[in-house]
Parts: sequence; structure tokens; C-alpha cells
Amino acid sequence: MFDYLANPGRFMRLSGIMIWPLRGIALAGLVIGSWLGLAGSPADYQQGEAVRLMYVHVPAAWLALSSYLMLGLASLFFIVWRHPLADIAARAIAPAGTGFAFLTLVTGALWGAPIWGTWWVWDGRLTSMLVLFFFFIGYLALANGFDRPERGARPAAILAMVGVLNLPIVKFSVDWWNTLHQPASILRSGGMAIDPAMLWPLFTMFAGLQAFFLLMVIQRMRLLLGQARLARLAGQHGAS
Amino acid sequence: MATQTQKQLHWQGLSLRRGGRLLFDRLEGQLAAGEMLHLTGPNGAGKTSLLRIMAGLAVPDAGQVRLDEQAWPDREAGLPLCWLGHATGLLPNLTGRQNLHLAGQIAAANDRALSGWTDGDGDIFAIARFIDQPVRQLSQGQLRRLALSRLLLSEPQAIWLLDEPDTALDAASRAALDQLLARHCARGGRMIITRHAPPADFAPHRELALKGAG
Amino acid sequence: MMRFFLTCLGADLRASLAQPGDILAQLGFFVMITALFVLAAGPEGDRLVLIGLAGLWMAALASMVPAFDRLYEAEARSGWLDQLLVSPQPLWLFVLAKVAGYYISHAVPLLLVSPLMMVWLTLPLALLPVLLASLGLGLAGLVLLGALGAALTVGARRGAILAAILVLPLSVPLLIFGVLAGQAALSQTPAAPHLQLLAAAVLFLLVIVPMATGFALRTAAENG
Repeated sequence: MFDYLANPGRFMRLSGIMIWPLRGIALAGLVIGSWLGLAGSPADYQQGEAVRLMYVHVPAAWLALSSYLMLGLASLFFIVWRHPLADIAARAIAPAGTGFAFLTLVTGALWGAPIWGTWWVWDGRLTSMLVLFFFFIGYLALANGFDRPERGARPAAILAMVGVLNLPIVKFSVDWWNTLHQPASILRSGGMAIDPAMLWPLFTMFAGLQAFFLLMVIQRMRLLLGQARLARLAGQHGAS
Repeated sequence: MATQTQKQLHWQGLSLRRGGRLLFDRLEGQLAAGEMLHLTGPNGAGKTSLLRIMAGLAVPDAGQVRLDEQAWPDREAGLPLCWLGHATGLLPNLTGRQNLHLAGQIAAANDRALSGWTDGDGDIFAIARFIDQPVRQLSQGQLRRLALSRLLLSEPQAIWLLDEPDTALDAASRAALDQLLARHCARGGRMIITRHAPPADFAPHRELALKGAG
Repeated sequence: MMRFFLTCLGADLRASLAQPGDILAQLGFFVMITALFVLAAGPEGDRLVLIGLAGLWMAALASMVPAFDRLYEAEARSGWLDQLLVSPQPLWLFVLAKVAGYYISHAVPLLLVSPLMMVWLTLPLALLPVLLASLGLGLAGLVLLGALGAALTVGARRGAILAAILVLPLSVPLLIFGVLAGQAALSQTPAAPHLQLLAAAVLFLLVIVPMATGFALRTAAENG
């Protein structure tokens, strides 16, 4: 399937077809999910209205993590099959993933403010997300750290693969660290029992954000492909 | 290895683009044992890039190099390779002797060759006078002579890839280099070479002119 | 193969010893940061003990990490790396030799002066074995990561800061396990579990880093 998609022309056609449905899902998911999250679901008996941040925070955290895994996967494809489309996919995934990691940190801080009474708590999940955010920053800095942009592709791919391999170790070490320094004693984001009425807004937001993420990645890939083609045409024109 | 030396090095369809610009397109060529190929062309025509592809230091966008039917370069099983680029390949904080010793070791050449030229008439590039100084203290010409001395460590059937070997050389060393090149071909070695200003009696067996796109 | 490893190691140590100024400057940096940390934290004994370990690790990181981008500078600029790449020798073995050489020339001096730093930080002398074990292992992991970071940033703009940005997030487990081992010893609980985890993390790096680094070095050459 990867080989089939790896043809840039075919990718442009297929992705062009996918854009409108994705836009629909993203818009519907975000609007309905927001409405359900803000008005159509109960407040938490302990956390009050602040629990509604969960509907953004949890999907964003999931998307940040899964996009780093996708980054590693795209890098693997790029290194093994040397296909430029895999590099373009990685370059499109990275900024989106960085954005979601950042969104997770911000919503975590906003959530923490009323619950913990402080803007930042070194809780295990939040700390792991912070390190993941640093991983993304490192990837972006390396991928764009060379004078010729294509020169950064393979170093960045190697970094992403090493990063994916290291992620479980980082996660484990942060949890280990967290259990030894008294963890925050208030409810942790995923540790509570969720009221079924909260599941619907969560899933809807999830679907909306996931579609939004795919949309961003595909649009950016199309943009990067177009830019590459433009550069090639300019090069041929200059040469003749 | 005896059979390896008779094999033909040949390349088809070599294309390379750098920064959107096509350096060369669908190059063909071959090189048999005992032959010297002279690469010519204006600056920026891709001479160095082609040499790097031959050395396995760069990957062409299309095409391939082969030694008969074998993929090239094959670092373990192919012919030995001796690469001399613009950079000397000498570590600045080591002496010339330490550097040559190290070069002999990584090329898996034996140390006997090393003692051959440091004493007496084998020292054709006259490096004995400064061989025990740290390389960072040497002049450009001395560095180049030291780097060329690496060729003396190479096995007779090796493929030499030389990028402007006479840069910064004095007349005596140039003459020594010419002799060395001729001797290598006579012994069944082969080489690809670029030379800015070849001597009048320079007679390569083959020539490949890169036109240069821009 | 062993001979190639030893040859590279010898060449690296010889090259480092030919310029002892680099090593001394790094050592001075380590000592100064530790001193400035005490100035920042205040010299009160009981408080300094609590955060002294953290200060020592920060000083070690701060003195090691910024120099990483120069790990292969001489090899890359002189064209020696190209010579290695066309040779039949395995690249990962060169990386290991380079890591071992860098560890001996740049990390061991830090370990040697760390007992003195412990005195400054008012840490009890009984901590010494655990501290040397944890810092020794942690620095080994850090040098491995530095070798990777340096290889990835060959030819990049802002190499030093870029290599640091790549290495620091990856060094989080080393820092956590290393500091926790020291803290456990301070509070007289077993330090062994932390040290074992640290050793496991270093072993893991020892497996993946030489290969990834060798690959990165080849990539750097191929892309000019």
C-alpha cells in the first residue's frame, strides 16, 4: 500500500479527493464536540467546570504522542526506501505534532490552575509530554538546521528513529522519578472513572481533532510537494 | 583477488542533480586494468562529485557503477580503493608518521610498505625531513606531499581516485607524481584523475569531458 | 577488528593529549559552574546537601554538552572521515573508539575532580562510591549521545547549540536515574536499583548509538 501511495502524482490526486470529507469531519466534530463538551455534558462533582478542558487536553495528548510515532515510522520508510514522499510526510507531521504537544501543555496548565492551585505541577504525564515537546523541538531544529533544506532530511530521520526507541525509556524514567517524589495528590487526568455522559463529547472532539490533524498534514504535504516541483522547474529553466 | 584485477569497472546512466541543477546526465564509461581516465571540464561541472560517486562517498540520483557484474563500491570484497580529495585526510594533531601509520591500518595495508620509503630512496616526495612534526605545523605543499605518500602504501591493483593531486606541489614532486602514476598503470592499477594543468607529456588512456550545465 | 579499535583509540587519545588546553578548559568550566552554583544556592549546609547533587549533575551536563559538536571536527574537516568511509573498516567500531577516547580524555577528568566538588557542595564522603558509579555511567551515556548529536549536526548551521538541543532531551533518563541513585545513597536507602536502571539505559545506548552514528556520518559525507 505504501508503494502505491508513494507516487507523488497519485498522492496528489488521492489526497485531493480526501480533503473535502476531512474538512467536513473536522468541522462537524469540532463544532458538535465543543457544544457537547461545553453544554451537553455534566460538570465533574470534584473538578467542577474545569473538567471540560479534558475534551481538548486528552485528544491533543494522544495526537501529540501518535504523531511522534508516525514521525518515526515515516522516517523509517524514508531511510529504508529512500523515498522523498516519506520525508515530506515527516516534515508535515512534525509541526502539527509540535502544535498538539504545546496545546497539551497549555491546556494542562490551564486545567491545573483551578484544580491544583498552580499553573504547573511536575506530574508524570505532563512532564513526559514536556520531554516529548523537547523531542519535537530537536527534530524541527535539525530538519531545518542546514543551508540546503534537503540536507537535513536524513539526519532528522535518524534522530526521529532514535527518539522513538528512547521514548519508552524516557516515559519510564519520568514515571520512576514521579513516584519517588510525592506525586500530586489530586485526581490525575486519566486516573478517574469517566461518566458515560462525558464519553460522547470526548469521542466527538477526538474525531474532529484527528481529522483536523490529518487535514493539516495532507495540506502541508501538498504544499511541500508543490514547492519541490517549483524548485525543480526553476532549476531546469535556469539550466537550459 | 587475481580475478578481480581483470574485471572491468563500468558505469551507466549516471545522473546527479545538486540543488535542483542537473550536474551531469546519463554518463557512460568504463575503465579496465592498467588504464588512466582523465576527467576534464570547467569548474562546477561535477568532476569532484563524479569522483565521490566512484569512491562511494556520494550516491547518484540515477545510474550505477559496477565492477563486471558486482556492485561498486564493495568495501569488503571489491578492489582496494585509494581516495585523495581536496582535503588531505591527515589528522592535524598527529605527526606525519602517525598519520601514515593510521592510514595504512585503516586501508588494511601491511606496515612493511611503510618502512620501505621512509628510509632512503623510496622517499620520492621527500617527506622524511618533516615526517615527525605534527601535521598542523606543515605548509600546504608539505601536507600535499604527505597525503600523496599514502599512494605508496596502496596495493598495485588498487583503483586510485585523485582530485587535483598536483595542487600546491613543487616541480620535483610533480615529476615524482607523474612517475608514480605511470608506474601504477604499468603494474596493472587503474585511476581516475582530474588535473588543472596537466604536464605536456601527460597521456591518459581515456578522457571524459564533463560539459557542465551552467 | 580489535586492532582497528585500538588504533583509532590510540590516535584519538594522542590527538587529545596534543592539545591539553581543550580538556583543561572544560575542566575549569565544570569547576566554575559548581562554584557559581554554590554562590547561587547559598552556602547553608543542610540546604546545600539537598540540592548539591543536582548542582553537580548540572555542572557536568553544562561542561560536557556544548563541546559535543566538535567531536568529529578534526576528522571531518581534514577529510580523514572520507578516508575511513572508503576503507573496509566498520564505521560503528570507529564510533565506539571515538566514544571511548572522548570518555577517557573528557569525562574521566571530571570524575577525578568530582570528590573535590563534593567537598564544596558539603556532600558526605560516604556518598563517593555511589556518586562515582552514577556519574561515571551517566557520563558514558552522555558521551554516546554526544557522538550521535555531533554526527547528526556535521555541516549544520549553529552546530553547537543544535547538538545540545538534540542531546539534552535524550539525556533525561540518564539524569533521572543518576541523580536518584545519589539521593538514595544520601537518604541511606538502596541505590542499586537506580544504578541498575542507569546501567541498562547506558547499555541500550551502547547498542543503538554506534550504528545510528555510523549511519549519520555516512549520510553527512554523501550529502556533502
